[in-house]
Amino acid sequence: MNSPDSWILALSWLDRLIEAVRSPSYNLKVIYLGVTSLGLAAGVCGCFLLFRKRSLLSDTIGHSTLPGVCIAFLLFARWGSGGKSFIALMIGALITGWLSVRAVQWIKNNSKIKEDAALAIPLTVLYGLGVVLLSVVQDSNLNLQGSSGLEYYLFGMVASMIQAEAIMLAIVSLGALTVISLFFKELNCLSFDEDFVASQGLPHRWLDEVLMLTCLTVTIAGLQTVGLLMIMAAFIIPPATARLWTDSMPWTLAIAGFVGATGALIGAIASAVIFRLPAGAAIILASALLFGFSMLFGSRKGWVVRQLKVARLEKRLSENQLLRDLFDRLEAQQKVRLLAGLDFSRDLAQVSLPVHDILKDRGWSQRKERSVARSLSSQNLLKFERGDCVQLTTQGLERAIAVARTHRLTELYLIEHADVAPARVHQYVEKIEEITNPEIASDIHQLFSNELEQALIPAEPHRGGDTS
Amino acid sequence: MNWNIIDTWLLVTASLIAMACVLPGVFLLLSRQSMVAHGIAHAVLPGIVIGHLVSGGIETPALLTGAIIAGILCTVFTRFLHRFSGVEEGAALGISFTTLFAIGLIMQRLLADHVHIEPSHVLFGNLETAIFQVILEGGGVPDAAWRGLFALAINLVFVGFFFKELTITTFDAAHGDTVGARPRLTYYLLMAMTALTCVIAFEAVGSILVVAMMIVPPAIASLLTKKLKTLVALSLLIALFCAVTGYLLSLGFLGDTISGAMGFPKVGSTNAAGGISVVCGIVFVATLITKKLANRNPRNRPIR
Repeated sequence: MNSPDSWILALSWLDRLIEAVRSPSYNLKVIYLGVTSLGLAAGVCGCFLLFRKRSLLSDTIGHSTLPGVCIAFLLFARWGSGGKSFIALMIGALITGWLSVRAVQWIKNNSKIKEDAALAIPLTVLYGLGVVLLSVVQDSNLNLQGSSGLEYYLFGMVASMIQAEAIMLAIVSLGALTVISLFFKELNCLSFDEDFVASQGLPHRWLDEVLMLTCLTVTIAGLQTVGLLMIMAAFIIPPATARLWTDSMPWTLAIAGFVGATGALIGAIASAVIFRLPAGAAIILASALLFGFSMLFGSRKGWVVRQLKVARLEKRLSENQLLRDLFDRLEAQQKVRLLAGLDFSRDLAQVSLPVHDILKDRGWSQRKERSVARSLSSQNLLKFERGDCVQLTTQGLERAIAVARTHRLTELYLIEHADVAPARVHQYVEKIEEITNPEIASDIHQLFSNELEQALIPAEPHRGGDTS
Repeated sequence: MNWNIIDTWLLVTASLIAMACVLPGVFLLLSRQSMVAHGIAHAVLPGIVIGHLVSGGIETPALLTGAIIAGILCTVFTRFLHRFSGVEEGAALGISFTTLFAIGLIMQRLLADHVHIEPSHVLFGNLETAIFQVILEGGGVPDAAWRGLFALAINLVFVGFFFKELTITTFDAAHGDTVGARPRLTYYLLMAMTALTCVIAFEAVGSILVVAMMIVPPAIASLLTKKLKTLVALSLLIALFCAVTGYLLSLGFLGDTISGAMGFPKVGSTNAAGGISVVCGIVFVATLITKKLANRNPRNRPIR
């Protein structure tokens, strides 16, 4: 941006951006309505494809519509009133699109060919048929009117969207959303457990068909206006984005719909602002940017959230390790009695422990030692003493005992039930500690409750100490 | 229907390209990556546009390099989305290739307007024009045929040289890792080969039908044999058969049948690549049905 020209260009873009957002022309409003409703419906329908790991089915459906469109065009040119009939093309597309879904199923049922090839074969073969038909349609001997624009349906012509098309898209989208909300519960089950749906006596085949037809209709409605690749992306990107934010089904649908509609709107505005920017591609890119943003900041699988979770887990683990080490030291000094029912807290109150000395085997940095200890002291589990020493509080001791107990019981469990060598069991438990949740811990406590009647804490099994 | 030198060259080119496509196709099919080929076929667009912008021509190594890089980027992105964010693999592929294609489309419209790489040309392809220009300019072997031969030769050398590695990687990548077959490297080499084949072939047959030629003949062969070497040989034969038959039918039969059925006057030849993939599809369905019927006869049923 160093020449005056680029400044002028940027200013004119800004100018047009403000105009496109604040007072769009009639044509733009039509486009906004069309693409937004399409994005919404495709996003919501796409969720069901994603849940069933069938995202790429929209790809197959989209490509397979080409022969249907061409056949419908030919039939209509022969016997219809001439010219392009939108409805006729849609019905043609619907038929071959549906055929491709059946074909995928047929190949999977009748051979050992895997899902990916079962998708790719109908896609490419039907598309090839479409290309052949297209060259018939465009043959100069036939001299059919309106045939030259037919191939552009793959890229779509958002800019030339007319009011009727936009209204049609809005109606289709509304229809699709109605179907999905009517069968929401059933579709929900179908997405996760097809056999359950069947066992409940629900017509799962029929439901499947309804879902596929809904997706097909939305795909085909969008083909003519926004193009094949954009409609594919509209089915795939918004649901994948929604999964980064939530794992609840209704929220996934809502977020996918929102992302689909927003991405479509941003793309449409961008293509209105920037001269020559193709709208379909702009919409894909806008949705992809929303996806990228969610990869970083999504509330379920976003990078930031995962980093925070890892940090929190790590903090808890280090706290437990510190407490356990303190407990071990107390035990070594025979300050704790390991038999149940003894009042251990009284004679412990006075023992101060040199943290740095105790932790030297852990290889922690000084900063980490201090921050872990400080975090424990802020929870009132330990007190800082003179010099480098700390003292456990009563609550701190209780938690240290609980932690040590779980740790040692887990070690015992591994030695007795998982055949882990006693010499290695300590490292092993340190490793699996991060995945040991309270339920597993209480299960292990249950398991040993008979053997450990009187002992509150078993000795460290790998050191062979005596409990008495 | 007059057969002339152009038809001969078209037939030769189509056969060479079909056979070249099959070689990466076999391994893509076996490692369940068919749709990855489809993704790569789209994702090469930005690479082609950048290669074109850098070099200014359309038949330069820059174009090939750009396309290979873009194709590999597509698989890297897919892997990354799957690993990093736990996106389901199919969806990850869909996201990465549609996005790359959109970027290519935008670059082509905004930056490279003088480029005569039309996206529709990339997607549909045209064998006829690819050959015709060269023939008009003065005989000899057309460039498209040379490129087809080049692709076939490169793929043959690659598959021959890395056959062992490809086999191990395809069937048991973990084992491949332990015996030092470098499954990662082999995987990306296979992807590079796929991208290279796509680019060489797209001009003649269009990016989507490249995938038909990559996947369908090996799929047909996989219905007939379980041995890898036989599979490769059989796929090559089937590809050759489909290319020849498809091309011959495209000269008039397909178009006339279609337009005749609708009551239209006769048309000339139709898109050859489309015809080839239709023949592939017919052979596939015929093979599958024949196999089903054969298995119905209890004497032929394999013992399980």
